[in-house]
Amino acid sequence: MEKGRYPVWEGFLVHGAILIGVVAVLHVVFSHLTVAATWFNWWVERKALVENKPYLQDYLKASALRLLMFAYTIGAMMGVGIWFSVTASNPRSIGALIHNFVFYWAAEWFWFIIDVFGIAVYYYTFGRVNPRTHARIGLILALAAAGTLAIIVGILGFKLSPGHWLQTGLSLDGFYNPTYWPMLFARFALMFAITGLYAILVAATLPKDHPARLEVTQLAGKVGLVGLAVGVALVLFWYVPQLPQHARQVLGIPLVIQPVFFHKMLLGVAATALVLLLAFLAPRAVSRRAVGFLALAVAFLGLFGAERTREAIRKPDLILGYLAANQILWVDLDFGSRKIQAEAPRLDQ
Amino acid sequence: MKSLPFAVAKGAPAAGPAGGLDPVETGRSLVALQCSSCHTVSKATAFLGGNRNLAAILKRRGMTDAAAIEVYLNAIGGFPYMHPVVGTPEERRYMAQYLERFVKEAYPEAAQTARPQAGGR
Repeated sequence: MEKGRYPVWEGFLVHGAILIGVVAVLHVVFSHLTVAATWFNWWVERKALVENKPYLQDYLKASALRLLMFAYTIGAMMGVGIWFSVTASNPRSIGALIHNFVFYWAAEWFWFIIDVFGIAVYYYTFGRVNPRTHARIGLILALAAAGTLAIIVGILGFKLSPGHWLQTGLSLDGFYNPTYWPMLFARFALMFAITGLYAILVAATLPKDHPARLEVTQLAGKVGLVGLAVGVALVLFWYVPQLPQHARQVLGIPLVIQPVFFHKMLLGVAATALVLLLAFLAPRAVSRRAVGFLALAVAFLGLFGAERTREAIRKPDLILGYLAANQILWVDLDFGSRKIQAEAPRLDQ
Repeated sequence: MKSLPFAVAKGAPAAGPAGGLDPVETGRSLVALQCSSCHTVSKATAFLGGNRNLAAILKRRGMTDAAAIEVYLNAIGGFPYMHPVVGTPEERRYMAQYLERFVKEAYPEAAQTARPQAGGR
């Protein structure tokens, strides 16, 4: 591997890591929202057809328009923002990821193209194709959205738990790493909680006497609560036990994971659960825009705590056991066909 | 000084005082390279106090002069969440000199108590 020599970028006003953090968590909020919203909307659309409730279409139109205008647009822009900020602050580690996963990213972009074009097609074909076809477009959109998730989770999990990759150097070993499946299902469940909050917000923009308003708010509460409960359970009982020994040790060090991050997570989960529960029990009281915005803001805070914690428990490495955060290689790796030589001892001479 | 390489290579003109370059600036490059991915290492990114700001950490631990900082840099090693410092003894000395300047820039009052350093700005 060619020794990467790049300029060092510390950040701008704030530390580069904070910039990446804010950009990345915004991306997480919007991307999770869009993936689960496509499934939720497909389910609602199916319900509208099967139970003959055409008024639900008004909610779907309102939801799709906002997904197209805000969630997909901001989410995609923040995705590009992650590329910019990580390339500037840690070129060598993003280089290492690209070396391993360039074709996985290429595959993800195929899903992504279907997903991004799909939401435009989905919105503009309301009332222009027959309702069954439209529901199928919704399903294609949902499958493509889940496809992007299924790929990026492999690359994301690799950084914390490279697993057998450290012995074999095979990219498939890195992709299907020990935290791949738990993280995939945990994220897929948790994103329905975010979508639930979003659906409450969108339903609150419908006219006061619109029948879809309360019905969708209740559905959102139900689906969101199930997603939240399943997601939290998956994180605690499947994801955390799969973490490497090092990560679980660092998780318990208050200097690295300050208690405030656990508090943020707890607050995020508790507030989200409360809003979703109220949406289910008392939809009339919850169906307000202010509640939706506030709940999404608190969910952002909780996600910030969770994502930051997940990123911090692989300290001091970017790719645990391979590449340090300061872009120096600390260990000799032997993949059989090729070897990676540690740099740290040579830098001391 | 603008042409300083990313890392100071062995035998490069910038590698020692003999090269005619400012050791503190050399230290700044080395600190930026090794520490800046996790720590705020200059006032440029210290808006709102910065991120695990090295000036604040060193001041809190009472290490405001280069000699004490150098001892500390060499002692780092027992943290599961941080790698030891790399570099030749000379490079570590430069890093310590830059960190002293950073502490004094961030906390001018610390400059009153610590002894002046040769090779500072």
